[in-house]
Amino acid sequence: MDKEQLVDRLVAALGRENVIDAPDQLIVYECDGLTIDRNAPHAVVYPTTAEEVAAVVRILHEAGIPFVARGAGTGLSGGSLPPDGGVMIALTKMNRIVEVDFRNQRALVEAGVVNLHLSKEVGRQGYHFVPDPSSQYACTIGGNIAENSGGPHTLKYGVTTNHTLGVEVVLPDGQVTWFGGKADDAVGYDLRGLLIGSEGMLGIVTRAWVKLTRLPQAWRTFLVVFDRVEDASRAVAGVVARGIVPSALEMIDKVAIGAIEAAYHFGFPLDAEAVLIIELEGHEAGLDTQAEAVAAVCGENQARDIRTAEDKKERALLWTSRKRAFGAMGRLSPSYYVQDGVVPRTKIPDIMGVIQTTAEKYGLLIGNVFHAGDGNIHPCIAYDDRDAEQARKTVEASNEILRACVDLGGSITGEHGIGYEKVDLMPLIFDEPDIQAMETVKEVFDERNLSNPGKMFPTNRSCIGCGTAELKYTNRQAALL
Amino acid sequence: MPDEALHSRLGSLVEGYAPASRETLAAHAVDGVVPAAVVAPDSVESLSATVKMASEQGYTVIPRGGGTKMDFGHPPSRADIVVSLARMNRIVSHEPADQTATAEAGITMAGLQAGLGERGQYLPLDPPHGDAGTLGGVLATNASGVLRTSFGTARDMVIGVRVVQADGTIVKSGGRVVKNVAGYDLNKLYIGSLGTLGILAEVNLKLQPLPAAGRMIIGSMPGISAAAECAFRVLDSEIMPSFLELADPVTHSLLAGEHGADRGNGAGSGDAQDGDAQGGGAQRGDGRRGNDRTAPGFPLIAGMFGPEETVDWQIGECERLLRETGATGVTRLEGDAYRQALESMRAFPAGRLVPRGMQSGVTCRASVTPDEVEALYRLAEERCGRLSVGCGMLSHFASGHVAFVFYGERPFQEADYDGLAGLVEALRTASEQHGAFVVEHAPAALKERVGAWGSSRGNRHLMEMLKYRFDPKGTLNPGRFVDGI
Repeated sequence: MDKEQLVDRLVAALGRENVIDAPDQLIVYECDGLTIDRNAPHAVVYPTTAEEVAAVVRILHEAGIPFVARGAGTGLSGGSLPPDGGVMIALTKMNRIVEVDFRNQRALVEAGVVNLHLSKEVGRQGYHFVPDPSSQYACTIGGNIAENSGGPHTLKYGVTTNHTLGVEVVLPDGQVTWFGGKADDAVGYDLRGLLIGSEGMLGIVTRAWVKLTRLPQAWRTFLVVFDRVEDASRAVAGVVARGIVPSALEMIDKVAIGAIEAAYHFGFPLDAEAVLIIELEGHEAGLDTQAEAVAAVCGENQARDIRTAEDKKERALLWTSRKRAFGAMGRLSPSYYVQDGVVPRTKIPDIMGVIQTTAEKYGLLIGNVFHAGDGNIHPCIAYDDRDAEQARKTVEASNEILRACVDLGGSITGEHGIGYEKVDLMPLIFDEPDIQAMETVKEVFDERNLSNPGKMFPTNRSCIGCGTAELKYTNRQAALL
Repeated sequence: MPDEALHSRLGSLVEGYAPASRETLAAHAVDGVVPAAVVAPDSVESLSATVKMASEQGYTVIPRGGGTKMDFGHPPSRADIVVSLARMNRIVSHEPADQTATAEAGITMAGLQAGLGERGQYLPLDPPHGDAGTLGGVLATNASGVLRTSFGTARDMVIGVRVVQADGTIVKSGGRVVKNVAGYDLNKLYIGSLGTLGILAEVNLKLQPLPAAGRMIIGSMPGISAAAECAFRVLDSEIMPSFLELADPVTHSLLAGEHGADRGNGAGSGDAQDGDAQGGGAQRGDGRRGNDRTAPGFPLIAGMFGPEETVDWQIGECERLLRETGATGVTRLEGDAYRQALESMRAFPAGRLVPRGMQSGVTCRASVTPDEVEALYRLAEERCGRLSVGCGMLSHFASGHVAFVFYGERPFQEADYDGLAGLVEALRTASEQHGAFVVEHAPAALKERVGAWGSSRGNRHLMEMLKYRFDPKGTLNPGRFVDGI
């Protein structure tokens, strides 16, 4: 089937208004939030129902044409980078909240529903959808499911998989089925759990039953100021060691503070080496006792100042500043590269040391804004994409940091996914048989390797990380805003 | 079967192996299928070598933990080697400040919790058979308890596993950190797979701090409708219950008997072998004494964990809601009474909680939506009434999980199976509208009639293919899982 025939068939299935194939229109779809490599799809389609998704997938399956699903394109690991000669299935028109069942505390949503829209929709009744990635004002729940997304508030309540009861899936051969459903504990293998976080490689999620969680009665949100990163890092482990489970525990270092302050004027102390945002939530009764314990831990670790968000407005501004931090980093350099690694939370002082040493070694500016409570680091490397040497150093530095994460007992991604970006880093944490087990699953679901091929699995198994290091950094990283 | 060759192979692979006696083999029969050998490897390497040998020589392998759930699912099509994980029972590491631990799969849940508790933490998973049941067995059956209301199931707290595959290859998935999305989440696939895709050898866990305080409040409601209505009001309120249970009055009086009677240490524990046919607790306990503690009625049981002040506020608020929705009596439990009541609830439906003189033969679990719990219970009660079968129920209400125990004056026999099959089919039809209905402990002949698992809902082909690709020779637990897997 040539391209023209393909487009004709897609148009016949979805209507002209739901298919684009003009090169100038396809530019937007060349990449997601990871802009280091680009690839235009043959066409982009906008199905409006699961049946339409299935119809498209059947056409592509029959013709042997690869495809990739896409939500809002906010992913940071190139998970929705179009495969060569492939078709992109954009789910943004499937954005209906189909049913909200407050009594059972769950909702049926289409894959293209924006994460924050669901929380807004149910917020008046005192509920929210817990996973809250920084991109939540744009990213879709389908994308959250594909990547098993997290966010600052998943420290206490878990990530997307912990809040998803069932998913309607279009399998790579075009069959439509449900894994799990409105009730929990489906019989047989947990295909729901397997699919969540499989990065669109096992099928395309079209609808999902997700859990709604009661908003807490009360919050205490603190901004704690430190003169040394090590002290802030130790305070993180100290809070957790006291048996306190904050709903969020975030760290921002000096470089990032400067960028955020310039953008949002929250009033962060520009001379601080690090600040922690610590949020406790629960019941009014007892919350101050916990707050005192948190303050004591911070005091023991030489906190310079502990500020409390006075009201909802100040709390909201603090979180806006945090969640848009990467966008603010864009002010520091022509480009920036956000990394995503994990260490055990007790190893935060160690990894922060590694990041600093690495920055000095390569002469790069690295800011840190991250989920300290779960040891999920996000070093953000500022560089100039017009300088090939700097781009190369950026990748090398980034790989060095991820290797250190692994050496400290951690992982190469906590929430952004392997995508395209980290395929050749997989052998850092998985041995060949581990990867083979995953490939076996892929073959069972997608015998012809059509659903988002080229992701997750290493291309060059004899040379860890060398694939990524060769990438040409020619494009400016799009800010999330 | 060439038993001599098998024994000599096992002897060379597993230190301390000796052929089991006829009695021991009989005691390890799985739904009547007697194995040729029982072996207990003492390391993941020797477990791997055992499975590799079995796969190469064409033997089948039946993994076994504490032996508390060996009658789950269907009888195996063949059972050559029962591989016990009993010797792989260590906590490998525990990092309190990271709230993580790694344990071998053969550790008992009680042993695990005791070890973690020494450093102020626990795994918030409290399934039945908590004393003898092992971590691996609990994960293989995805068993859960009252704490799922607040902490979910094993799938919400396992962060990594090491698994011995059907050909003996050791593989891992996940990792040791609490947040990690590298690779497919195969942890989920192994949990609840009844050992048909691989044998869990080592598990990395996400832990919680032991709560400062815990209390329980029990409202005696005029009927199940009022109890369910109150449960919905609690869920929609600012209370965040750690557990919220709906129990039928008889079950509750038995629970109360266990916690109300002054039986001293060890109440609610100790007889953790598969005691479905025993009804021992009820015979030992004094149900009436407990029953006097609350007015008769349909109980709603809520529990709160956490800091003292928080727990107090929530208990007070819960009492207000219970009274507003018509509670005729409210009991608060704390201290030892609370702990014993919690322990006895955790044991349900492992079999002790049937009335004096009754014999339990069948336990089932349903997964429905919370608003279907009431109708399901009414259906069970009505069908059981017609059959003169006793029906006990405990529901982890917020998750829509309902555990049933069906009992009679004598052990169920062939003549009872028609009626019981009709009961199961009716409950299954109702449950499968959104969820599932699984027969857990039951006579093999009854399971054969109704099927232990119910429907895999259009995903049979994928499940069969996964099994085929992970275990092409059918080495692991053949025939015990859903759809004959």
